[in-house]
Amino acid sequence: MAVTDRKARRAERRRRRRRLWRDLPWIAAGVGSLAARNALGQDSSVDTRVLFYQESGGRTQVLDPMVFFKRDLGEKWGQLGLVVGYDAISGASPTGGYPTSDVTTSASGRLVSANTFPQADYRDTRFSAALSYGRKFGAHLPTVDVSYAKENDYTARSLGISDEWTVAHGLGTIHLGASFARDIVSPVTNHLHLPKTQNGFSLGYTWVLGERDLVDVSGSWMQLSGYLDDPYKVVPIGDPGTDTLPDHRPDSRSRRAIVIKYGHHYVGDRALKVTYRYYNDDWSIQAHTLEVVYDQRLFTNWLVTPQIRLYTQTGASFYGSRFSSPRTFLSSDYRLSPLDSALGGLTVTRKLTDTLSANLGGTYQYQRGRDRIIPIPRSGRVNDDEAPRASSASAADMTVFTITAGLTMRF
Amino acid sequence: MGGGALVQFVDDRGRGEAERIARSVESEARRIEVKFSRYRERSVVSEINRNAGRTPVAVDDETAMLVRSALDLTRLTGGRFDPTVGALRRVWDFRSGRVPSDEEISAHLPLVNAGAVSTRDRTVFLRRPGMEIDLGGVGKEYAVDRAAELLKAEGIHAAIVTFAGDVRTIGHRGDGRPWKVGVADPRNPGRFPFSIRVIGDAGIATSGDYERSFVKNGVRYHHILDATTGWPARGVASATVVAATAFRAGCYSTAALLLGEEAGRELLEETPDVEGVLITDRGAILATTGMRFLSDLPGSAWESS
Repeated sequence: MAVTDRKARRAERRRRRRRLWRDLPWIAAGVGSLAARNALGQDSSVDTRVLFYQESGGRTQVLDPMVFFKRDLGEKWGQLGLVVGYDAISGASPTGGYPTSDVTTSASGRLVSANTFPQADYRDTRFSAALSYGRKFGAHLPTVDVSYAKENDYTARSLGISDEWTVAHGLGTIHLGASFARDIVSPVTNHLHLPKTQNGFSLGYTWVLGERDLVDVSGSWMQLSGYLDDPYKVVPIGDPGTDTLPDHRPDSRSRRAIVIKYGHHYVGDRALKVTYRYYNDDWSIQAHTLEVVYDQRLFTNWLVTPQIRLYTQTGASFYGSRFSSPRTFLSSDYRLSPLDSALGGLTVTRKLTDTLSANLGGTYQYQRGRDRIIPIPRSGRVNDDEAPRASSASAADMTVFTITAGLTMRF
Repeated sequence: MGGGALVQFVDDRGRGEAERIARSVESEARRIEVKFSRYRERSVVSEINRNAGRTPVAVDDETAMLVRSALDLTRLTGGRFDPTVGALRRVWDFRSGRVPSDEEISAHLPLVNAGAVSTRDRTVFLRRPGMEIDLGGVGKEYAVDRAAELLKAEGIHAAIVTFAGDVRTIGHRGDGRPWKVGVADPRNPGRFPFSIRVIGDAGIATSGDYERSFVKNGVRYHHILDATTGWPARGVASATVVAATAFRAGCYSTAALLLGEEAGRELLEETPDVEGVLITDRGAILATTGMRFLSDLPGSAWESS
């Protein structure tokens, strides 16, 4: 009798582990290609998601509802995916200009003080759609996808092909892909239609290291060419920096990244995913990203997922907050500046029925630029001890807050 | 009030005291916003509007002063500015970008009439039903001045206050140098082609055709409406005025924008203790004579500093 009980308990533990591997979202989110392979053959689903994104200081705000539709047509016909999104974008973005005044005056205008950088208001909408199709052929899962996105001043079109190749008796997967994008930039300031090309390739391998561990290593390379300037950014020239030139960048960019992911699931409905990413490009930007995501199932129907992400990058070789004289390439775009950021987040998922689950998540990100300036030094008639000290500032300084709510239905 | 707010001051009584003063300034600004916003049901402005054509509304001295000041501005602009222009907001929607027809504007123009505003015996009465008074044209600058007065009452001698683009200064920057206020380029958002330098008590305000506006078929339509026609004022893209208070600066910047390039500049030039700069919709910068001592425009005292 006792032997039978032990067998039953072991069988139950095995069942629970299998269920955990199948259900925990870090797998569904894709630890390498196994995720995609496992996903094929699962039920069809519809995911809806609404993201609210808010940068501090009246900067960019985005409301982004999206629908993900996945239709499993069976082994013979494969699987079809469709993603449709619509973003409403508003707010302001730093122009690259130098803060040279204590405050500014404008008609009911946005505040610009000595420690805040000149910003330009903008408002846009973005429609995006992506269609994918994949079907298993023996050990291979080739997929093709096309996407289209349209903004007021930007049109993006891309084609992607990829393959997941299961090897080592199912304990490893080689995944490789290529993507080709042909975009058009149409700045509202000059009404030109400027081409931008992106060709990317990726290669990776996923290992199953026993029952509880997965490791995925992948590398990617992307070559951009064409119009890569930001037509809405300016670059301060000279002192005090009130004169400006348009942002101008090289017309090619080679981007490379290596990503290492490690996943481990613990007994007791818990799982951990650690991701490290190294990035560099020929604009001299190097970046490191470390992310840790932890899943903890609570009771029967709740899943709590805290996450932490640390990021750091160096600046582009032609970046500067202000230039003494014109150069061939120059930009004051804070996104090309040296900066660090830390993000913390929490997502709670509730299984409502066997086919329906809801999730609510939020993240808070703190970003700080390392290229710091003191816009108007406060020194002069009084000695340094008495003079009020101006704080340093960077256009990259900001906090970002997001809320995501979603509903998933399987059928 | 819309837009951002910033209060900076120099004080040596410690952080706690500075935060207390900053909070009191903030609550004073909120008090004014709550009291005079036409978007708030319980504001005195909403009460006056609800009782248009029905009964006079008893008001306090502060409200009476603001209404009288708005009516003074009407006289200053020959009727182009009118605090009862609120009725026209029913046909002008600057978010949707719809241009109203002549008939729609004509139908609402009779409700725009500062002469039908009665301010007797500490009451305000809009004599015609459907009239709407809007003190937004002067209320924001008044709030800036109130914040500055409060700082002075707290013993602050060096401060700068700005609410949504209107500025008031007290003393100097804390190091003896003048405050530097960048002036927005009306056609290049985020750019500030020149700046104004002031020391002491001064108010700076800007009126422009680029906020709450839209462009349709190459024509810009904006929220500063000429009350005599019902259509947006033409010719001046931005008017920036320096005066003793933000309130006075705001009145004259609005007046100059409504009067247009020539009459607007003449008004600023001839009014004592008022200086200003107009940026026309052709991009020309027209400054009063005194601005050479107050700005870093070419040929001015602060050029290249």
